[in-house]
Order: sequence, then structure tokens, then C-alpha cells
Amino acid sequence: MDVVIDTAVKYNDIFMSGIKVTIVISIMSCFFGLLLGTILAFMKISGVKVLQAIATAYVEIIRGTPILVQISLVFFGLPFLGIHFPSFQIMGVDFERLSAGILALIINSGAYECEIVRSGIQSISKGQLEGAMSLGFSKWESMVRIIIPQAIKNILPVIGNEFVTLIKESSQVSVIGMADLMYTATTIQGISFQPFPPLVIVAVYYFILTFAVSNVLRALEWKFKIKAVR
Amino acid sequence: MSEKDKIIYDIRHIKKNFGKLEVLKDISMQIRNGEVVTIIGPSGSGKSTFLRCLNLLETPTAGELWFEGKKIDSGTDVKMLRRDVGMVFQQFNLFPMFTVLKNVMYAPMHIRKVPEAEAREQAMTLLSQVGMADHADFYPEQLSGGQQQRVAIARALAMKPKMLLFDEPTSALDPELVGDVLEVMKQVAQQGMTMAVVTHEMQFARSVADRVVFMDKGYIVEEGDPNDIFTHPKEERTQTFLKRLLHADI
Ligand SMILES: Nc1ncnc2c1ncn2[C@@H]1O[C@H](COP(=O)(O)OP(=O)(O)O)[C@@H](O)[C@H]1O
Ligand SMILES: [Mg+2]
Repeated sequence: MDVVIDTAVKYNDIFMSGIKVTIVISIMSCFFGLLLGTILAFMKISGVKVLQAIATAYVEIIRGTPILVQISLVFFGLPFLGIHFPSFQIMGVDFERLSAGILALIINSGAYECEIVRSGIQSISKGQLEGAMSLGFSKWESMVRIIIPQAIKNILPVIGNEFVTLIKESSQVSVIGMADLMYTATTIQGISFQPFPPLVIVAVYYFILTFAVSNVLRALEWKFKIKAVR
Repeated sequence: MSEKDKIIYDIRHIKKNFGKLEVLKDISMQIRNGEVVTIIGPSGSGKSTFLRCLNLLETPTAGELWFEGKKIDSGTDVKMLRRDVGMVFQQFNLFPMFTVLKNVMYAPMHIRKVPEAEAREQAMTLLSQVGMADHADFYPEQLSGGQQQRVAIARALAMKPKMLLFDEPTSALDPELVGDVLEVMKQVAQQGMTMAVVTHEMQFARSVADRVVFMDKGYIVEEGDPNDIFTHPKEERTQTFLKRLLHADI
């Protein structure tokens, strides 16, 4: 136990910078994943066959392959395709690795968030759309004024869960040498010659992160609900 | 020809297919200004589809629709037509995130650009008309089905439509709540609103409707004065349907 605490204190700076990176990549990939997912969701419900087919294929392929494979494909695949991110240090992380890691996570979470957004929109009954259209709103206005605000209420809590998932899933970007929280365990294993304590510490930090985020989200959800009932 | 007898909606040989399924086969009907037409018929006979063609929630596959002497075609502004031809749904379809008052004010404010104060005043007048003024600040989920439906009628009236479509407005209600809604509809009819109402409430049809239309399998089988249709229907299919309706007490 002492060893664990000693390690945590001694290498606190490294762990903290790892936590920072993990939080940043989780927020970025959740946010941009939501953007991508929203676009894909609208493609899926557009009624335009080509767009539907593209979005469906995308979602199926991403959900049907391991995230570890996707991360490696992006990191090694982009340079192969002649696409290079500039290489400099940011937050103690190589920008090239950071971009590749975040991009892979966006690509991955986009597929999941597409399904969240789509089912959020489709859970609003068709009657709401028709109610608005029967009054003289165009289809687009009805979506923006009536459907989407209701859908967002359904979607937000689920996006919160996706964010928690991303905090955990993002640990896999450490395979491409990105200095997130998981990677700090490997680093400190190397410098302290202690294989076990760093892993315990990292596990505890991950748990604190997800536990805190879940509870904050739950509190927000409550507040939202109480407000909704005026 | 007086204003009252003028044909407001002329429906000429419309058809509607969903893929291979022919739902409306050949429907013609003329609805006059201020007239109340009720449409009855077995479930699946195409009543809702017909009604939804009249405000273009469905587009007829063939045939012609003439509203106020103008043919509806690809150049028609569908949104404008829907302002003139309002609709009340079986499931009310009130907006759950708005209060009762906002439900009624919303479309006039955002579509007809009525100033807020005026929209509010007009909405309150309509809400008192349907007996819901004291619930103006409630949310739909806090109301009974009957109350929601009365708000939905006020919401439709707020757009000052020339005609209203009702698709089984009381079918989703507990029996003891039906009366209030029918009373409001009767009042709307007496104020001269043109109405097409899909309903199986015979009492309403008899006391309010000018005409009853019986539909079956995508055709109009028989139509006429409510008392004639209900007491001595000519067609066998109408007879069978009415017999079942009376016994099942739908
Ligand atoms: N959007 C739709 N797509 C496919 N079939 C439909 C659609 N709407 C209605 N139908 C079919 O059309 C037929 C008539 O339906 P409807 O007009 O709702 O009848 P009613 O209101 O008289 O019960 C039914 O067989 C129904 O399944
Ligand atoms: Mg129906």
C-alpha cells in the first residue's frame, strides 16, 4: 500500500499530465464525435438512398471492428496515404500522435453517437412533426422548432454515458505512444521498475474520473427534469 | 349562389397508393362552405388517408383537389394550404415542452407573425371558448386526454383556418371525457366552421352533421342525410357496418 502511495506522490506530475490528456481527448472526441454523429444521423433519416447507404455502411463498419485496429489504422494509415500532421509538442504530447489518436476516437464515437442521435430523433413521435406541419410550419421548421428540442432532451443523458465510455476507451490510444493516463502507467513502470503500483494508481484515477463525471451528469439530469416540470 | 352554398373543397377522383397497396381507389366529394361532413367506415377503409390528403400530409397518387376554386398542383404553397385547412388528431399531438397557452399562441406568433400580446389575448379567448382558460399555465402531460383534445382544437382554431379536419378526435379518450370534446366541436360547427370529421359518435353525426359519408375499402359506398343513413341505409355494406357499430358500441 505504501509503495502505491509513494509512487503516486513521487510521480504525481506525470499522472496529472496524463489525466489532463485523457480528459482533453475524451472531451474533444465526444464533442466532434457528436458533430459527426449528428451529420450521419441526418443522412440516415434524410430519405435519400445514397446518403442512407453511406451512413449505414459507415456505422456498421466502425461498430464491427475493434477500436484498437481503428486507432492503429489511422496512425499508420494517414502517413501511408500521404497525410501528415505537423510534429511538435503540446501538453507534453507529440501533436502528430495526439491528432491521430483524437481523430481515431472521433471516427469511432461518431458511429455510436450517430445511433444515439438517430434514435433520439426517431423516439419523438411522428405525430409531433405532423402536429407542427398541420399548423403551417415547413418540415424543416418543424424539425428545428419542435422535434430537435425534444430530441436533445432525450439525447443528452445518453451522450453523457458515451462520454464516460470514451474516458475508458481512450486508454487504447496509448498503443500509439500517446501520453494519456494509461500511457503514464507504462512510463512509470519503466522508470520505477515497479510493474504493479502504477497500474493500481491509474485504475483508481480512471474510476475517480468516471465516477465523478457520472455523478455530475446525474445531478444535471435531475436539475433538468425538475426544470422541465416547471 | 350564397356564400354558404359555395363549394370550398372539390375532391375529384382522387386515388392514393402506398407502394402496391391501393388505399383510396376513386374518391370524389364536394364540401360546401360551413358544412359539417362526418365520415364513417370500418378500420382500414382509408378514412384517415383521405383526410390527410385534404391537407396534403399525404399526396394523392391521382385525381384533382380544388380548394376555394383553385386547383392544387405542384405550384401550390402547401404551408399556405395547411394554414387554411387545420387538423385535429386522434392523439392530440400537443407540444409537450410548451404550456397550454404557448401551444395555442405558438403558430400564430411564428407563422402569421401576430404580435405576442395579441396572440396571447386571442389564445386566452379561444381557451375560454373550449373551457380551458383556467389551465393556461399547465403542461399537456398534466391534463386529461379530453382536456388535451380541447386545447388541440383551440390550437387549430388559433390559425384562423377556413376548414378543420378531425381524425377520430374522441377515439383515444375515456368514455366519460368524450362528451366535453364533442360539445366543443358542436360549438365550433355552430359558429360556421367547415368541418370534415372522421368519427363513430353517431349522436354527434346526427345532431351536428349535415351529411354522413360511409367509406369502405377505399371507396365512398353511400352518403346522405345522417338520419337517413343511420335509420335506413340503402347499401348492404353500410347496413352490416352500422349493425356491428351499434352492437359493439364503438
Ligand atoms: N403511410 C402508410 N404507408 C403504408 N400503408 C399505409 C400508410 N398509411 C395507411 N396505410 C394503410 O392504408 C390503409 C388505410 O389506412 P387508414 O387510412 O388509416 O384507414 P382508416 O383510417 O379508415 O382506419 C391501411 O391498410 C393502412 O395500413
Ligand atoms: Mg384512421
